[in-house]
Amino acid sequence: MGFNGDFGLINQGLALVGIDGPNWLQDTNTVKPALIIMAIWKGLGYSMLLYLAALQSVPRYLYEAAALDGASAWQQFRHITIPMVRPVTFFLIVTSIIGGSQIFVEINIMTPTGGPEFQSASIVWYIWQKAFDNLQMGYASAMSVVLGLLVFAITFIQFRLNRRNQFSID
Amino acid sequence: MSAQHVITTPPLEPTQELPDGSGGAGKSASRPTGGRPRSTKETLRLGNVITTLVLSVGAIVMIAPLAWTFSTSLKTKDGVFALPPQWIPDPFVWENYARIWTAGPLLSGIQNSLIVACSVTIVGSLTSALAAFAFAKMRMPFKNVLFLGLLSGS
Repeated sequence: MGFNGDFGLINQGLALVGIDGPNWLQDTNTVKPALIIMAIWKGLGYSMLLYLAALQSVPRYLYEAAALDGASAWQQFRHITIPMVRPVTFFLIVTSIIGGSQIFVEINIMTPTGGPEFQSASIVWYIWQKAFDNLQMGYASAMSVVLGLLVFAITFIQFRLNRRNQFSID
Repeated sequence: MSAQHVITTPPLEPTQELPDGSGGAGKSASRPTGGRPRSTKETLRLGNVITTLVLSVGAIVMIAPLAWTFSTSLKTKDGVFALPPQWIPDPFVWENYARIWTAGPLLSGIQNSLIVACSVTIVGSLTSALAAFAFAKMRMPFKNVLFLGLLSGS
């Protein structure tokens, strides 16, 4: 509903600033941005909650000490806030990439046929279609295993990168 | 912010950077000594206004789809596809909320959801806690690889 070209919510908003919005889900160029906007909107609350908890757990005395040393607001943010919420950032990046590479429900609801020219068919959606529409279970299972290995490799690389830049406070 | 200004006057270099970065350089230059706290206040107020504006736009963007869903729930079938779109439904009907209870088996749906949700929460928390303890405290071969495999499968 939100992405409908004639009366959808996004195009109503764009019309307010004088832009004639596209027909999001029918256009090969805009179907992926539409899904991205939707996924961001959906995941924002969760990420924000985690960041809120992380920001509240940064000790006040670090900011006080930095202010006494003459650090500007930007320097405090750069050298205290970002390092202190780094574990949460890492967690969110890892879980978001895993979740994003397994995106299915949004696609299956918004574009049940894979979108224009298959432009919104994700891996999991394609596996699902092969397995339960075409009943090619073996093919689908093989793709699932490869997807699992791929996600594993990406996560492994991320853990490696994180270990190299590990921040520690004494 | 103001406490910082008062305290950091002795070490000169960092404070010199501060007004430049925050955009209040012109004001503090025009009032070299006496006007300093006031200019900080003005910058703060302007910053508050801008922050509030940006956050308001974000809040509207986040809430709009929910408001639109609510508005749609009060429309008739024609009203849903009306052009131009109606934010306040013209034939304003509560009928859809009455249909909730008659058109489909909503109660048994809620029941099913509750059963699944409670079981997942209880069993999931218990088993996750046990597994987390194993990963946190015990020694085993290939611990990291096992953990990564578990994570990428979730």
